[in-house]
Amino acid sequence: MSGSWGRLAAIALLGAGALGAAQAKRVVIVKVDGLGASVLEHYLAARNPATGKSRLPWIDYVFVQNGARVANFYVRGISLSVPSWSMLDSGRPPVIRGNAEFDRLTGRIYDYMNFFPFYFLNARNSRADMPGVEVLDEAGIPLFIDEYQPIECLQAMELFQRGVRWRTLKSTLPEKFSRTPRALFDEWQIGFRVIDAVAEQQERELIAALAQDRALYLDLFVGDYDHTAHLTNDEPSIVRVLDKVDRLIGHIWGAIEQSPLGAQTVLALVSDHGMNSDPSAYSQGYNLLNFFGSAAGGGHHVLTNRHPEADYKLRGLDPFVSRVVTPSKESFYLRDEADEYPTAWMDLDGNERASIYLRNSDINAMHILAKQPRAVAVPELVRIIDAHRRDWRRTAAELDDELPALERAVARKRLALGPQPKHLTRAQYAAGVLDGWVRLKAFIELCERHYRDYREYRRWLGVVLEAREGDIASGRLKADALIPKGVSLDRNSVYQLQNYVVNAAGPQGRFERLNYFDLLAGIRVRNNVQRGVSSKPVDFIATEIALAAIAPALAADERPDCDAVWLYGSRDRQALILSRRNSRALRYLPVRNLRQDAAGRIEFERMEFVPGLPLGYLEDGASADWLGRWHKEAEWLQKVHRMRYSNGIIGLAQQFAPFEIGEKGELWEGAGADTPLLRRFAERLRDTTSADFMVAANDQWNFNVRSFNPGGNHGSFLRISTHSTLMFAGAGIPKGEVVETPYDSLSFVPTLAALTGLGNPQSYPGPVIEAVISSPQRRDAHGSQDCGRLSSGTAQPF
Amino acid sequence: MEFWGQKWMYKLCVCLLGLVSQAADVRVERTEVPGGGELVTYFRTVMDPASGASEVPLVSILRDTMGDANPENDQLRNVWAFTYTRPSVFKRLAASVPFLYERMGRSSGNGAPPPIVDIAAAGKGTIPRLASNLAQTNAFDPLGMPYRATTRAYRSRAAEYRTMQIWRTLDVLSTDGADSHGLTESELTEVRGRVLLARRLFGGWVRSRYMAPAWNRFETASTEDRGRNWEMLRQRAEENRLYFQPLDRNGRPAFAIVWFDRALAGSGGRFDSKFLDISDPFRDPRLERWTEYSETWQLDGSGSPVSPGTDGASPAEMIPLALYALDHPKVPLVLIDFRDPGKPWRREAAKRAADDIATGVLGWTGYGNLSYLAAKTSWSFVHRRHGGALDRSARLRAYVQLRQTLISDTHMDAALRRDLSARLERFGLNPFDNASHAEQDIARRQYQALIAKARAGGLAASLADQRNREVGPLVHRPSVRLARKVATAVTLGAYRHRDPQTTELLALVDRRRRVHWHMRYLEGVLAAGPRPEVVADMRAVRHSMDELTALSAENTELRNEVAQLVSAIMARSDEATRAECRRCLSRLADVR
Repeated sequence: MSGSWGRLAAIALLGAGALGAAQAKRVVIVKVDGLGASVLEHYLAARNPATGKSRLPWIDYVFVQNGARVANFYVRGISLSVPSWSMLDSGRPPVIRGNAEFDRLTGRIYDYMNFFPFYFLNARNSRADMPGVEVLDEAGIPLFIDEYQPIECLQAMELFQRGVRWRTLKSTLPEKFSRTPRALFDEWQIGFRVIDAVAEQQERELIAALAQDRALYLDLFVGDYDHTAHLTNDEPSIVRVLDKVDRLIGHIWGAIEQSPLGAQTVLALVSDHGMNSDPSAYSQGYNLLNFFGSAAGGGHHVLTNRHPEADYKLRGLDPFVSRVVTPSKESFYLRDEADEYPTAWMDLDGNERASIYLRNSDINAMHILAKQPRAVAVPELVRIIDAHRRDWRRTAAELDDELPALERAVARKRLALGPQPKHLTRAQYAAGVLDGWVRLKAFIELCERHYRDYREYRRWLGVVLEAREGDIASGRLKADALIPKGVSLDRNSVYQLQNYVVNAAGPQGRFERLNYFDLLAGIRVRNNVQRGVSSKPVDFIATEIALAAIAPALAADERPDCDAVWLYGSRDRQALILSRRNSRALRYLPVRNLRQDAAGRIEFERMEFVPGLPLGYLEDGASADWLGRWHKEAEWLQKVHRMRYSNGIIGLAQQFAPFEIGEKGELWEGAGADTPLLRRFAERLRDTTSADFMVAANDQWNFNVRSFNPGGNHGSFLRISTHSTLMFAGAGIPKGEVVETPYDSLSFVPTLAALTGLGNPQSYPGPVIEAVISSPQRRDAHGSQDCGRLSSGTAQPF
Repeated sequence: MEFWGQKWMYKLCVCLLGLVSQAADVRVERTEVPGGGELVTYFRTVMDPASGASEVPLVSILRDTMGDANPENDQLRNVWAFTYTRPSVFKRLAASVPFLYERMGRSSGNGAPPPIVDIAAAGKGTIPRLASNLAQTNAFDPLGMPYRATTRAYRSRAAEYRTMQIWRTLDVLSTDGADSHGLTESELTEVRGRVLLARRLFGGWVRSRYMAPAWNRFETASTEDRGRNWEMLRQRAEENRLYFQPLDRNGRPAFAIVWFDRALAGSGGRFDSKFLDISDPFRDPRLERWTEYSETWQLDGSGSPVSPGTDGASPAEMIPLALYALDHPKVPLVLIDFRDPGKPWRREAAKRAADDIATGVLGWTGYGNLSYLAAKTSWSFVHRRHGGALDRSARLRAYVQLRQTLISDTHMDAALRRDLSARLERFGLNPFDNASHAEQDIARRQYQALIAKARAGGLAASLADQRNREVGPLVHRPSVRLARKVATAVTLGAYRHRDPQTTELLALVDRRRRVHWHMRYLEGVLAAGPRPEVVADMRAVRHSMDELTALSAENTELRNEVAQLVSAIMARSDEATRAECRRCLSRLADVR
């Protein structure tokens, strides 16, 4: 087993000595995707007329009457599943910021939600963990589950899943079809639901594992609610799904009570985000794929991670597809070259926001010039290269250090890998011996792939940096050799996004340009048939402005210590979110007419707080005086969390914040002097997945292209989408407690750490939810803790 | 008991005064039936251009109440759709003609209608239908193409006619107000589930506990279809510079019309017909000469519809292009193409003709010709994947829903409704079907006939039959029952043994039903989670245990079952309930 994970296990074992102070020995987490707090509260308060009890009697009994509810728990950042679960599973700020991401420099696609390839590769011992986990491992960010030994864990099928429980899948169909013939007949007539069978099997396994006292971390992922709420806003359908969740809680609670560790178990119910669903309105979609493909939108060939489902292609059934290019019929200069030169990338599961990657505008210009007569084009081409030369040289120099370090790291890992373990006992399987080997092997292969990809990019840098005007003019160096295929390259600056090159405007190096901020904010639809839903799909556009660019335009007391976030609602309704990370403070600065010139200078007009600014805090009751000052994050959260856009300012700052790589990472473990280089490379891997801008949808609008989700969506910073569920019950949890203090995603894991005594809660950036941590007196009343941990030698798989 | 007394008084008032309840689109009326029953009838208000609004009885459900007010011994029985009538001879002959896709003749509709389903004996028709299928494949098909084609044509149209009535019944029972003062929520779910499964050959054999999941899945899928198609059509209209107008029905989107601004006629430009399924309006000269139905809307400068009187608005003549059903799997279904009224009919007829050629003419029938089955399955899969509307039952449902909407809608422009109705009337493809007006007349006549039958004791006999079936195994030996069944079969139903409805027999039925009711209730409580006191009203739980203890006093096998149930509850309950359980178990043991 590799050193890093072995070390984590050792720390866990050493930490066992501290368990005597822990409130709970075992933790059971029920993860319900998309279960918004407001929906849950509504049905908890509703009464069943037949029984007089809550409409959700088990959740009411377990968590409301006998547990603690965190009434104001919010997603930190965009309310999307992958980033949100990454925070809830690790306790760290997100290094993953979308459901799918694209490496701008290499074209690699990170499709976090597609589990088919993962299961296929796992069956071949090529991958151990889901793609999201691999990315976290690359970034040195451990999961909370890593605090436990594998034999102590029962993890469900979920986004941040380590390993695969093939036993679950193998048992599903036999269990499903082991019923009486009569029951099978009845089900056949009303329609078999195989996907339900998997969920039922996982529930059975969880219940069975609870009966064993070595199961210390158990979780169950429920995706039904999110799935249903996306597809329909029909209240009876939603209620039926909630009933299922409620019964599930009842079964689990009953099993906990019957189990040997019942008094030492904490049950947590948590969700990753809410759902913007309205029974009286459908969520309307705006097809950004078509927009960017149109001439008005730039004539882009758009690359997505899946086929748009509404095309109903057969190819859309292929679960292994992760790269789909939708050619533009109105492309200006890349007709019939869609596959080689996509110029826009987007995540197909947009929900209430779309992260847009555009090919660097200057590369577009170079490409257009490459198709023009050399005499005209070459000088302009060289001018563009010169404008980037400094940055590209720096990147090249950095890669010249990082890539050899990466190569050395790979060599080290290869030596440590050894041959594949064979003839393992069941206990060794349960202890994760094979998984550990596969994990390391997969890690090595991923690093090798990064190495190849970035070497290719480095090669291109070399070509372009060494390109001489004479070589291009004479034809010795083909101009199109300067245009890499399939990548978007450097992020566009604000200037470039306001002056984006889409076509030639005659000869002599003139170009037709678009201002994407004006363009997107100006979208209006003709067919708006729902009262209360705006004709304007776009709420605002958000992008970052480099610190070096924004600082000169700000007064000293306004200056942040990192990049700013610019929110564009319209020409005269804009705002800057300024962050001082050292003091964890934020400031909201209303501006208008912000522009960046070609030299990088930012200009804008300051303005008063007026209605109509992005996030609308003024309209929701915050005073201009308060809004116009620096406040700590906690102050902002306390002030605005109940407002329409809730903790949006914090979420936006987080979404565009620098990536925080973990302290210990497999990549730089044992690397000695190479450690800073490898950490920098790990940061680069994340940094190059940054989109150019994020388009936030207006209320009851969405940017889904993969399918229509008229029932509801999430992904925005609206409170209904960010307000999530968090409840605790069990060992030492105070009964009937309602925690009104607002918390966000980063508080979940440190609270688990405090409850279980595993890991150091203070090492996490988020605060512990103190109200659920019991006093020693309450703990004593629930019995003392048995600290014994099993050795791996004797355990059997669950 | 006071509660039940009150309920009994209420029922008396209902039957004496014909008390009715008024709800959104459907009115429910309860009528007492001699012999211990009640008829729950659903009326819908229909709009007639000539005579205005009137009511049409559409669905009745017979509930066997045993003549008392205790819902524990109630049993739902027959479901009738009053538009479902025995076809005339002419219609039957016409239905035997292959490739005749027209509504033919008119049924008289005299007499009570045949029931769609008997809730208490839903599996009754399964064997005859199975036998009919077997007769088709083994007796008629081998006789050659003429026999095969005609018999298959007849049977498929009869089945389709019945399916239409099933959809109509479900449409009525799904309407807002259908659950007002008619059936309880659980009864309504049971009826909906049973009627839904009545479409399937073996659906009648599915047990009652699966009715709720069957209906719930269907309804959820239906809401998902509506939402998806609404959004798909809206986006397609937007992308193609057309106008999208959803038509709600009972507050839920059911249909949509896509409109065209006449000012754009002849303008050319981009048009993508995918999922719209209509020809390019921007190059259609017919729209420049359009004289049929149109409306005048107010559009603002950007072409968006606005209210009259809005600043900057100007009038625009809008021409309807197509009406779509949203409650259809995968894609919205074109039901009316305004420029080509015959197109939906032709398309539907073509699909049927293809089926009729394959099965009737060529004799390629499902499992009888595996190559054909494989080819058809593959083609269907691909075509469905590309948004093809291949589900005939779903298409029928869309057609039925639109018909129902057009006869009862009060919000639509009258001229538009007339236009749509006239176009839809041309859509009749089944010789068994009747025109809208004729159906309404038939429904009224058949309802009167059913009421008359009820008053004459005809339904009482049906109630008695079912009660006999329920307790037959308890009062007669198996050999006796078998002999009677054989006699009934041999005499083709002329002989049918009926036990007299004595007080003892009725008490047996009452006891059996009440046991079943309480057992189901307690099983439901156990299934809801490990602690009954969390999910249930424990007074009701204890009442059920008491009742079961008393009802099972004379039946050893039942006592054992009840004891197991009570023990299961005791194992999971709080102390108060455990004490009650112990008392019940003690009483059960004493009886032994």
